[in-house]
Amino acid sequence: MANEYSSDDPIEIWQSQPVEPITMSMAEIRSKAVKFEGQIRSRNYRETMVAIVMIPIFLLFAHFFTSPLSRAGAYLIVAGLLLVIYQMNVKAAPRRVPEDNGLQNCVAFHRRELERQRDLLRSIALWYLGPLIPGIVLFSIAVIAPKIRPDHPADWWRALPALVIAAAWFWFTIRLNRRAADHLQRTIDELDRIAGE
Amino acid sequence: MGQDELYREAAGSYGAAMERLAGAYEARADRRSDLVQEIHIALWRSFAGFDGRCSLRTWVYRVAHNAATSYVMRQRRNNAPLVTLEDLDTPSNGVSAEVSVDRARALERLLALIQRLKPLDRQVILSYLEGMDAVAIGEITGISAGNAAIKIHRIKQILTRQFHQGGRHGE
Repeated sequence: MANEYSSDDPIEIWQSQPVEPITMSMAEIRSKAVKFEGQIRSRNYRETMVAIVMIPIFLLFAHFFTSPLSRAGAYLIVAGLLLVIYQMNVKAAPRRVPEDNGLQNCVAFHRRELERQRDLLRSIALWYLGPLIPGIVLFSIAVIAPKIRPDHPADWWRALPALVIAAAWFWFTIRLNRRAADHLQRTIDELDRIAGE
Repeated sequence: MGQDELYREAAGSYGAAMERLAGAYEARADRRSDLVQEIHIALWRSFAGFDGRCSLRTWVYRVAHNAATSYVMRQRRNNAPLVTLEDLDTPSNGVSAEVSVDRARALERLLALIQRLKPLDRQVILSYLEGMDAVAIGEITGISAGNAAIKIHRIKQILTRQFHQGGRHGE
């Protein structure tokens, strides 16, 4: 390909920009590769901090609450939080670039990453919200039940606001993630359209 | 050639291009060296599976773009939306052409334009600026050579308008 550059030619401007290529020995490359793996794994730590902070709170509830039902609910929430933390750092963790990525063209690689993110967002009810539901329901029942007078079944309605707030939070989280997943799907469709042209 | 030898050859031949590519994906200078290192690590790791099915250049650029795209997808939160070449290819985008701009400003403007683009269009324009033709761009990105040629044509129009110069580049 013959190129004749002019002084304000974007290609010439681009290729002649001052850069200093990094030089790393093979030992440096290997050690940085190992370090980089650790950084990738720790990226979700900040996002799991909220879950980590909640665990001692519910352990305290389990310690001080006397009813077996409320203690079981608190322990179930702790178990759910641990499962969510695990899922966030394994299933939903940012991945390192796969080794075979040189075999994949850019559209295929980008599409695969978008599909992975889309599927995670679509299944958030299963891996993020689902593990917390049994504990929250049991704990709520345990807290509310002693306040229900036997001859006043209408007292159960007093539990309604808390349940509505919890349900609304679940619904909002699912809806928000579905919208994000739909946006990713549109990007995937756009990539498919361009790749098919 | 083994993994280490392939990496050394790639780093020697395409090291400068990888720096330029990182600059197009990461605007912040303090983070750019992280991306460059990430690209080099991805390159070194990838050569464990290099089987010569494509040229070294195609392999290097695929790995570099894929690593950079992955980086952008991880970093990209609360930033301005990315646009396509079609979005830029409108006279109403507010960019006024100047008869001459100094090189530093021209490069700054070029980088700003590239950094606004969605991954695929960014890959095409960067490959074009590295002097690749439509066939090579198609191999790297996965779009057809015809589609790449159309995009190159659009890129030339955009660059011509922004830099106020005549087009000439071979494809």
